[in-house]
Parts: sequence; C-alpha cells; structure tokens
Amino acid sequence: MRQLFFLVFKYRVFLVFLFLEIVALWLVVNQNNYQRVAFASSSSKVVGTIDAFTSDITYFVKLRDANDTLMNENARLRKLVNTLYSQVKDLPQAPVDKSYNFSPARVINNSVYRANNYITINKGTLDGIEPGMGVISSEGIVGQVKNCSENFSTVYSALHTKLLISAQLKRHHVLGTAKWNTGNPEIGSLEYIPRNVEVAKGDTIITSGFNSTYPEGIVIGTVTEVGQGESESFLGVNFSFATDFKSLSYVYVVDYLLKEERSKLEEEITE
Amino acid sequence: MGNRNIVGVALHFIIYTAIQLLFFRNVALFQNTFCYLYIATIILLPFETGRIAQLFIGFAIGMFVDFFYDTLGMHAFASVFLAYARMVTLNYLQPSTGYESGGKPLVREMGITWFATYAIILVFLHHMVFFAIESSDFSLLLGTLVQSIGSTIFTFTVIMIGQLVFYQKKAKA
Repeated sequence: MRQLFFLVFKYRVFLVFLFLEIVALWLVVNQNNYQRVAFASSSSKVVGTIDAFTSDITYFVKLRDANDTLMNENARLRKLVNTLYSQVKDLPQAPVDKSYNFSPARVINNSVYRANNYITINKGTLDGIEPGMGVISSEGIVGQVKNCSENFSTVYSALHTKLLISAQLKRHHVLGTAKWNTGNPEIGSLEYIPRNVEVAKGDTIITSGFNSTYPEGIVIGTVTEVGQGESESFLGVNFSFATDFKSLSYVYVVDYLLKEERSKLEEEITE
Repeated sequence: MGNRNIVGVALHFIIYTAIQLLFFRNVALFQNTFCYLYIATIILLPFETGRIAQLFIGFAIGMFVDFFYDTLGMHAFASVFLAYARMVTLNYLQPSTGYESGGKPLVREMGITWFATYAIILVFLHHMVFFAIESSDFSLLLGTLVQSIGSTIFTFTVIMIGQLVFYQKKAKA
C-alpha cells in the first residue's frame, strides 16, 4: 500500500497529464450532447457578446464596399428602368428618356450653409464626367458639374444662387425656373410662374427636361408657400427641396448621350 | 511562482488570447493554414512554474479557446499535450548551467537560437496533435502534416515578431 502511494506520487505529473487528456478527449467525443446541456447556457452569453462585437467591427470595415456595390446596382437598375419604360408605349405619362446614362459617385465634400455651396464627388474625367452634366440623388435634384480633374469633380450644389434649373409644376405642366436665393438650405424658389396658375401647397415640382442637363421628371421639391411675388405678372412660389443636402452621401451623374447631336441641330435653327 | 510571475502570465493570457479570438480566429491563409497564437501563453510560462500547475494552466487555456471555436475539448487536449511536451523539451534543451531562477523562455533571456529551437518544436507538436484530433481521421495524415507545418510557420512567425518587437532588452544598470 505504501509502495502504491509512493508510485502514484512519483508519477503524479504524468498521471495528472493522463487524467486531463482523458477528460479533454471525453469532451471531444461527447461534445454534441455535452455542449448543449452544460455549457451553452453559461458561456453562450459571453461568447455571443464577443462574437457580435467582432462581427460589428468587420461589418463596419466592409460597409464602404457594400455601399459601393449597392450604388452600382442602383445605377444599373435605374438605367434598366429607363430602358424598359421607353419600351412600354402605352403608358399614360411620357417616361424618362433612355438616352441618359447614370454613373454613381460618392460625395466626399459638401457644404450647405455658405452663400454659394459646392459639392465634391469622387469621380472625374477618367470616369467620363464632364462639366455641365447634371447631378441627382435617389431623392431628387442635386446640382450640376462645375469642373473636373481626373479623379474628382466639383459640383454646383442646387444651393448656389447662380444655378437655374428648368422646372415645371407636375400637376399643371407649367414651366418655370427653380433657384435658390435664401440662406435656408431646405427652401428654394420657383420663378416665372404666371399669376393665372392655381398653385397649391404640396404641389410637386419636377425637371422639365428642356435643357438636357437633367432627364424629365426628376423631383426638385414640393411647394410650401405661394405668395404675390415682386413682379406684376408672376407668382412668388417657395418650395422645400426633395433632396436632403445635409445628409447627402451618394449621387448619380447624369450624362445626356445625344448632347452633341441635339446642340448641333439647335445651332442650325438659330443660324 | 511569485506574484510578479502570476501577473505576467495573466497579462500574456489576456493579450495573446484576445488577439487570437478577435483577430486570428477570422484569418486563414490558403484556406487551411491557421495561427494559434494563444499557445504563446503556455510556451512562455516561467521556468519554475510547477509541473502540475502547467498542465492545469494548459487545460484551462485550451478550454477557454474551445468555447469560442466550438471545438470543446480539442484545444484543451492539444494544450495539455503542449504543457507536458514543454517539460520534456525543457529538460532536453537545458543549458549546462541550468535555468536561471526566476527566468522565462524569452528571446531576450535565452538568445534567438535557443528560443527558435524551443518554440518550433513545441508549436509543431501542438499543431500536429490539434490538427490530427480535429480531422479525427488518421488516414489523412499527410494532409494534416502539411497543414501542421504551414501553420507552425505562421504561428512561430507571429510569436517571433512579438518577441522581437515587444520584449525590450532590460536596460543595463
């Protein structure tokens, strides 16, 4: 008996080693039953919290790529919708022209509180962007490209007093000009609407499509206020922009593919 | 094992295991090469750590990692094996003057050649045992061997980088 104790003591390290390995092996073999019963309840909360934490980090890192992918998808679908619309002949309303191309871009700089505001986007001449092209967002009008470098472009925000947008009242089909001349980045004014037009609050203002910068039917805003105006013959109409310029992150640059053909034709008329 | 050593081991455990679970858990080179950095805590235990204590430390760390990998018992098995192999390896690699009391198996104390020999043997043994258990199919031994060698290089490189970058030489008095 004493010798047995002595033996156990002599090999105690090896015996502990064997014991722990057997326990581990037993856990491996029985892990499916055992895990659920004994450990899932106590450890899952801790483990789950840490797992959620790591996935949050990786998700956050991947967010930008995910956004870009969705953005391209949107541009593709937008184009597809336009093409399909123009193929459906008997729609009651004239659809958006299919001769427009939309390329997505990310807003990398933006201002809304200056007297004249500009936006910088991450696409330039290498991406086929040219000065004069229109810029829209999924919400509505954004602005017009001012000038381009190879990889970036600056854009006149619609919150720029020099930017005039050919607009129409959707309900009346009356033409006017939308512009911004207040310090409030949410409100613009619609000018040259004749006094005989019955404009109501909530009427939608859309692009006319007449100057080819924007396709017809892009939402500019909704009427918030109808006043007498300074001129004798025109109403003073204020509207709130459909686009939230303060939270602008992704936009589409509109390329009118038939630009040259059209301007050439129109030049011939003026001559 | 004095209080200072316990704090040191706890620090190793927190840092190496955190890096393992937060980062290396999601990293796989060539789809089958992994880094099991957490075993550095066991490899770097002070020389004078009690033998039975080493085994239990190995078991505890292995179990802890197992919870996160959903491999209950596998890392525990490999880690206990590692702890035992460590004692044997330390016996073989013992310098003629013996180990300095209060010393640790670090590059700055034992030199780079000694440490590399010591670490590569242990990392490889651990990985071999772990991958063999994980595949639980000894007919795939060649695949397991290749996987173990690749992962050993990976883990050893990371441990070595840690040794060279974060364990500064003590300033000479």
